[in-house]
Amino acid sequence: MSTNVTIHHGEEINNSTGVSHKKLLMWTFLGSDVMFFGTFIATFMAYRNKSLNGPYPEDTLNIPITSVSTFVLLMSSLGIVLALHYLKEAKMGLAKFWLLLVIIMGIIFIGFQIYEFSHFAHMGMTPQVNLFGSTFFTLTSLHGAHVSLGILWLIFLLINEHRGNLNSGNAIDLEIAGLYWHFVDIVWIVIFALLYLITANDGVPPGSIPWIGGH
Amino acid sequence: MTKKKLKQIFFPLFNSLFFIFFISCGFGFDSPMSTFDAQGPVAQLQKDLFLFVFWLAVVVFFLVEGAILYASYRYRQKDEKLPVQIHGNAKLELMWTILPSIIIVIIAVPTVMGIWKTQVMPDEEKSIIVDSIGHQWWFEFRYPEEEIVTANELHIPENKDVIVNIESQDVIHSFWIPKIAGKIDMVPNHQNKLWIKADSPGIYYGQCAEFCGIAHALMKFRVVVHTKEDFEEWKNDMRTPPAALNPGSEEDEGRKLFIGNCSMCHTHDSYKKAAYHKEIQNQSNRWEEWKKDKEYSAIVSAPNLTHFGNRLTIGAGLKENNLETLSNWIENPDNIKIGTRMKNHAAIYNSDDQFLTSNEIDQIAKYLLSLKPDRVSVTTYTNK
Amino acid sequence: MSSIAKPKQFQLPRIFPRPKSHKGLWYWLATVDHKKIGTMYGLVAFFWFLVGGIEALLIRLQLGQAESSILSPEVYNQMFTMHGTTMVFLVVMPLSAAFFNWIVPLQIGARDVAFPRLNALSLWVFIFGTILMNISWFVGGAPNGGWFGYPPNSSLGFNPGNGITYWVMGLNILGVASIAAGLNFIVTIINMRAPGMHMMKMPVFTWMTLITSVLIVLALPILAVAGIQLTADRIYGTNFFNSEAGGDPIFWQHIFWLFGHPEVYILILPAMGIVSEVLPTFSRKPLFGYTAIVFAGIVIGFMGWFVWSHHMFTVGLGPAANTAFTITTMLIAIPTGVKIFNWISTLWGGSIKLNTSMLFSIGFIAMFTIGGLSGVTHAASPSDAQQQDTYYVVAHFHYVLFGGSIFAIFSGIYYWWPKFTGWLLDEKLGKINFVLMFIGFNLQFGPMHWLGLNGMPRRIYTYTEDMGWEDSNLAATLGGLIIAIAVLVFLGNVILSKRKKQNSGGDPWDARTLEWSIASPPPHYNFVEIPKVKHIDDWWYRKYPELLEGNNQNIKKQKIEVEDSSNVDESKIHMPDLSYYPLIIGVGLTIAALGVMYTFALVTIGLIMVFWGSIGWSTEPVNEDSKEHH
Repeated sequence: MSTNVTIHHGEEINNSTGVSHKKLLMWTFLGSDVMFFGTFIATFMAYRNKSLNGPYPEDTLNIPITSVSTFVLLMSSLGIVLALHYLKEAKMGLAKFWLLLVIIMGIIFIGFQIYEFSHFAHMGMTPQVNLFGSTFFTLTSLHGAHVSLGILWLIFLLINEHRGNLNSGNAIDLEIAGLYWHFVDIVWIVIFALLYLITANDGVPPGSIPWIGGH
Repeated sequence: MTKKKLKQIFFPLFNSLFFIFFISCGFGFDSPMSTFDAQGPVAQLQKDLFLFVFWLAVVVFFLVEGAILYASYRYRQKDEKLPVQIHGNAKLELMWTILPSIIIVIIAVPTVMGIWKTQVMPDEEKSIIVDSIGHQWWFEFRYPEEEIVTANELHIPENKDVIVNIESQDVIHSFWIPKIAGKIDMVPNHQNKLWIKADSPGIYYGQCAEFCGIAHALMKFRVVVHTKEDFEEWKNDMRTPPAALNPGSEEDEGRKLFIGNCSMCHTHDSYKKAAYHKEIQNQSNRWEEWKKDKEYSAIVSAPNLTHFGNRLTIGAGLKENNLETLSNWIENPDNIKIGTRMKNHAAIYNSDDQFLTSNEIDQIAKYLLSLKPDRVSVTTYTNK
Repeated sequence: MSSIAKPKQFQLPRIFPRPKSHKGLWYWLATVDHKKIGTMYGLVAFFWFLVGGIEALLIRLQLGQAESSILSPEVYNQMFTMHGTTMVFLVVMPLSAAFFNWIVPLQIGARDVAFPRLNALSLWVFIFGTILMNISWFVGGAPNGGWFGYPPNSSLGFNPGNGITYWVMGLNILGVASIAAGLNFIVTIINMRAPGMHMMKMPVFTWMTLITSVLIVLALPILAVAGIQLTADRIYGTNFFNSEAGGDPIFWQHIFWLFGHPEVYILILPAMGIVSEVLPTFSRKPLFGYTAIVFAGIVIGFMGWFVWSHHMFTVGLGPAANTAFTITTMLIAIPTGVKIFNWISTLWGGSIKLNTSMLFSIGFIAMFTIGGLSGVTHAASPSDAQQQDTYYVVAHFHYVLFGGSIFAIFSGIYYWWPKFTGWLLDEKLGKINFVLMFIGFNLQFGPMHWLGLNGMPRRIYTYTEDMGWEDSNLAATLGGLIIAIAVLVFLGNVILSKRKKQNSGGDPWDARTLEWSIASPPPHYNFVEIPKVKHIDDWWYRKYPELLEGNNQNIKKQKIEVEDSSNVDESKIHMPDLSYYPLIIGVGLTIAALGVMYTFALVTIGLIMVFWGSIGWSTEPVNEDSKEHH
């Protein structure tokens, strides 16, 4: 009755689609994360120009500085593509170099964000001060949390790579981390476009909301 | 399975359905808040639409439930033989995709017409405008054109379009007079409009229909629908000062106590000229004052008490307005209504040296009941 | 993966090696077996079902008479808030998850889910989430803002105290659990079907699980955002729903119901899946219109995203929005109708065995139909203006969620119980259970239609005698007590049947799907041999091969026994070892959530635990002795 073949559960013996479980999991998770960020972005857009008092985006946002950090983050996406490429070709030195570079770029991005947050706070813009503050800080800081998690993950992979536990044979582990990293970058493009570029000149809203008894 | 066994199962089912049917029928529609007793065109339209959908639903109900019961009885297991194996029937399935679609269209047409009929406001020029503001846990009513302000009692004339502008000061409430019109929510930072029109004079019940905190169940109001002439009289009344008091009378003592203890929050003289805008400002100031210190503020938003003696109820539609209930209320609002700001903030309940004696409470109550013009002008109406 | 030749391994000293013992408490804490996890989901959810039921009874006792004072207003508000939250998030969702866990891998011929440890993580996070939410009863009052938690009433300014904060944190934690489980089941169903079982040969229950999981994965993040925003408002003083800073309370309603309506289908689709398994089995003929039922499920899941504002018809969105959402809402009646008609046609011409499971399923169709029809009356939004926030709505959604989901879940319990345990539940007590529950249910929720049309608003803790609501309320309270007795009968049934232990065998119902082709209870590796699937209801056609030849008369059953797992060399079937890390991460998350409410130190401790758990998780081998890397 019993089979002669030893079957490991984790081996994906009967994989119906040919896509590995982990990769499918990551894609599904990213779908879920799209809804998460989407709702936050929707909140930001719904509350755009609705703050009753300053500081307004035109007082605070600094597009050139954020452009630099955006550029760094986008370049890191290229970096992780190269890291994966060299890992698959078993050129471990280059693979490790690029992965390290991606991590550094991620850290630079987070550094910029920390600088930006403290700068804003210094200018009196806090999550508590108005709707712009509330929506801006929750969205960007949750994105920052995603980047930080990604950095931790990549560091973990780099250590594995260094020890030889990550190699061309299981490059899929890096590929999945790369999917996540690309996604976080893409979300940042949306955030940069909506929260920074088109919002940058928003000042005092055209009409404040009528309050009780005022009519 | 034998017939006897089937009876054991189905008999109780039928039985319970009938039981429920009888119970339900026996109860009738005599509630003062029954939506079946429509007394205005809006409620009538809503009721008619409901009944239209309902009777269609009843037909579907009997068809579906009948089919379920019939099939479960007719095709019960009789032997071990396999029944004919049918996997589906494209024609049938297409039919019961299309049939409901047709029913949906039949329902959708009057529904969509009804939406626009009830939600497009009548001509403002020809209507009475009322502002209603929801507070935790009472209703404020303002007549911006007449410059009248009152609380927990909406007065409108019969057979006239009324546009109610609906807002809230604090949390979300909902404005609902079941016999006159379906509800609409009172939302802070939003202004909603509700069109109401009542067919005949009488007193109607209204109640908050959105959960708004601890006294949600106790947030009611009354709608007094007047004849055209009576409505004019009522407006006149609201601009007439109350009867003068004899110095030294119980009422006069009550007046002093009221001025000293209550009038920071309760305005009671909005019959005066220009009092309307002042009251709006005051109400707004009280709200700001309370927001500064929600726990210990001595000032809170409070219902306007102008011509309180003519009010039908106290505590936002909770009890009949008479000396006994009113004294009971003033003595401790918690007796009648939980959670009032008055109980939690007024000094007479919270500061040891300012408690009132029962005699003083009676005097205030008598004073409040004396607050009405010195004439009997408005017909008394009965509950609808 | 493990097939790769490994360079020399560097192993950190491991604090928690994967435990081996399959006995005792530690086994249950560290298990990654989908069946054990399903059992725990079921037990915990059933416990909360009893708690939520007691909350409901207290509400009913309070409302049984005019102006009664059994509960104080404050406690009443906590009761209905926690009753709603409990029944949705702590009962129906996890009970469905229990069935997902137990049945889906068996139905698709898999040895486990795709990510067994992630599955355990879902379980533990869920359990701690339920505890977190209910701690609030003991630390200053349970949440009291309704299960929808509308601000500003749920904001700190109008609702000081911890109740609402616990509620939001609890929901967020439960959301993590649900999303993780949803991801897991999507991957499991898409990737781990037995050879030959392509999508349109999957059992309907598995299909509905897939659709439900997709809805969970897409809808729960929206609730998470709402939760994070409300938490931030309450704890950090942000302005999302602060109307005084321009925040919009309606925005909460939009995101809550954008989550909330798909959530309704998250609650009902698994029930529809269960019924679609039970009806064909006990009618002894195939499900009528398999394709139509599957597609109707997909369409319902899809259209569920475009109807959220029908919860907001009275908010004042204007006639255009109300028209749009009226029409989308009415359209959902069409796929729902297709399902109901197909189920009735499954009964039609069958050889119906009216046992308890079947009765509950038939009861489901009957009651769900009523809920659907009353749903159409308030899809008509002008008529809904009179019904919104009245007991009519309470009646409607209880017909859908109790008459629907709970009836189907009971049907599923009676149906799969022999698969879970290897013994049968008593039929006589089962029928008493059904009849009592059916009568009690209708007596409780039938009159509520009346109450609502007679103007009784929801969520009021008292009413006066002159409103004319007393008789109907009394009837409803009696109904509630009858339901309570029915649940006690069920518990009695379990205890008595356990004493009798009437052996069920692997396939007591002559059923259709793969889970019945193996022993009951199944061995921990489920299938000795992964089955090769040729047909929908493969097991059925293995038993009745003549049917495949188009023969429809005098079919003879083949003597086919369920898989015998008694002589199997288990060392040939490698399953992943147990793991403590899901539990550790679950505890860490909960501590961090508590810390968000109280002190940053706890957040740090919690996150360290999560971090440590994650590292341990990703470095531990699949099997402790084999030293293989997962």
